[in-house]
Amino acid sequence: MTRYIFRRLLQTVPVLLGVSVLAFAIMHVVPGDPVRLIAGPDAPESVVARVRVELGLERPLHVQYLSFLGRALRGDLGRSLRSRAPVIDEIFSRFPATLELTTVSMLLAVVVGIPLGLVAAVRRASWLDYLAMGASLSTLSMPIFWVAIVAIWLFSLQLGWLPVSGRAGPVWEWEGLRHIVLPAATLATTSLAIISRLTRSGMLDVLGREYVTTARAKGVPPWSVVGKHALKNALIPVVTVVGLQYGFLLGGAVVTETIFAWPGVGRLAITAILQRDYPVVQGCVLLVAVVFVLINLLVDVLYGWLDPRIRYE
Amino acid sequence: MAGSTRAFAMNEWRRFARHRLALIGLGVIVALSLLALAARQVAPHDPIQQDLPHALAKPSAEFPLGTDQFGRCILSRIVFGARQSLLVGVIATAIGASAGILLGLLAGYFPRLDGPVMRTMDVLLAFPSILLAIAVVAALGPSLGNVMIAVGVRSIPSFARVSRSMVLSLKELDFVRGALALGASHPRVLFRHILPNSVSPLLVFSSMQVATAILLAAILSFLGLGVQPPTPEWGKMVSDGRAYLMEAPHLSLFPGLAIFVAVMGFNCLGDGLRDALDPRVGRVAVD
Repeated sequence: MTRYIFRRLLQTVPVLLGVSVLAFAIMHVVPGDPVRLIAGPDAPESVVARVRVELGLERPLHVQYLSFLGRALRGDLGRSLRSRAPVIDEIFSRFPATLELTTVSMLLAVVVGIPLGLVAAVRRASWLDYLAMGASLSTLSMPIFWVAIVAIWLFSLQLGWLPVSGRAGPVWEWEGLRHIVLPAATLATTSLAIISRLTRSGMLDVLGREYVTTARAKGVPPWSVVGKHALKNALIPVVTVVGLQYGFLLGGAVVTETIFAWPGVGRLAITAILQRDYPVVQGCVLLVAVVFVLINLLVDVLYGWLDPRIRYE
Repeated sequence: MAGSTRAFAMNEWRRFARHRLALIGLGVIVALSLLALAARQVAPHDPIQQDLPHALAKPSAEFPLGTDQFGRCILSRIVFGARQSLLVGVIATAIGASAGILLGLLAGYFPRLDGPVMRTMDVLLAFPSILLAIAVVAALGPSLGNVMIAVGVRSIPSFARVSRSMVLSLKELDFVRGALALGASHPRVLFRHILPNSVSPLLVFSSMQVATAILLAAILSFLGLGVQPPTPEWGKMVSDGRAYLMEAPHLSLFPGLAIFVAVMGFNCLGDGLRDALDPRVGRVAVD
């Protein structure tokens, strides 16, 4: 196992190197001179030249890349062109908000999605099954920004139950909780639909297996067959998807965070892209990719722990 | 005995229902395409001409879905908007499919290419698709063509993965080995033997990718990175309507519904096709 983890860690190195090349390239493939952007459109040539040297942009590309990589490895991602604050600080000041939103929404998706899929599988071909699966296919077809807007219209503007947008503190405080409900529920819809569909198909697969029939024949109570024998095995693919979704969303739920004015990494990333704040874009891209690759690794390891039949050789 | 007959009938019925789902999906797509083609004949009003006295009108006989802040008929704008969404969905998927399938075929067929190609795909997959698409459009500038490229690039790695796995499962089979033994060239084996046998899973996958592409393109437009005004586009219409959510929610609600219907159409088609074309998958999904 340790050897497997070590080997997987090694495998992530080329991927992460590729990501760093891509992040580095962002600064150099975009049209327009980033130096002009920093110095201002009507700065004199002498200033432009000085800024260029300050940023080290006059050096050959490979030298620039290596110094970028070296600094990134030490946690130095440069400074934001807008706020002048270190990029790493900008990101980490946003990260708790994203972590909170992602965690709450994944919890919601798991807590609702798994029982829903379970019931749909056990009551297969009942109206409940059709309703649950129809709802999940519909959910997967809805643009998330529209779901968000409809939710705001209904729960904030019409009923006045919940605030329209923003974050008002941590989730364990009343106002914080009230503010997170809509964005978390919106963000949860897609994951919820995927999780309930997967749970259902996993359960249907497992319920037809011989060991389940054996358990039933032995007189194990039905709830125990479903809950203990079947569910455990049906959930293996669900774990993968939950992990991957979680990893993706930790990179910032761009659309949800934008609509609900949620001060997270996703909104930081899109604002930076739109304002051409390249160091921040680079930082966000790196962070997102690293988190995603690590979560991937974690999921693989978890997989082996859940399903001892999987051997890593 | 009676129970198993009934179960059998239920099963058959459900399989039929699945195919009917595909038919419904296909029907929706055909209807939308016709609407898009005949937009000028079908739409009751000009989608761009402003009519300020009628601004923010509620749905009525003259304006079935109401008007926006410039008095433009929402229904007409939705009908014309179908052009953008379908076009972006299909062309972006075509871009992603042609590049991705080619890369996947090569990676699966030539072991020496496998590592480099698939690791590159892993790098692309390590980015959230939305961020990748936003970055591409932000770099190239907002326009319909660039949205197609951005959305298409996103689907390259997934197409590569699917087609690679098809090659891996097919290339050791007797008919491929036979063709090679008969002296067929590698391109011939790849494109005349392996590719045609991979068509149905790729078709299913493409249908679902069109759905995702339409959603992603709508998100880009919503963020102001898509087709530029005054061209009607569904995502942009939802976004523009946000400012009037309190007094005129129909501005955002109806265009969003249009996106939902189009995406649902392609998803249903994909789901149904999967069961119809691939009986193995169908059995797992149904039973």
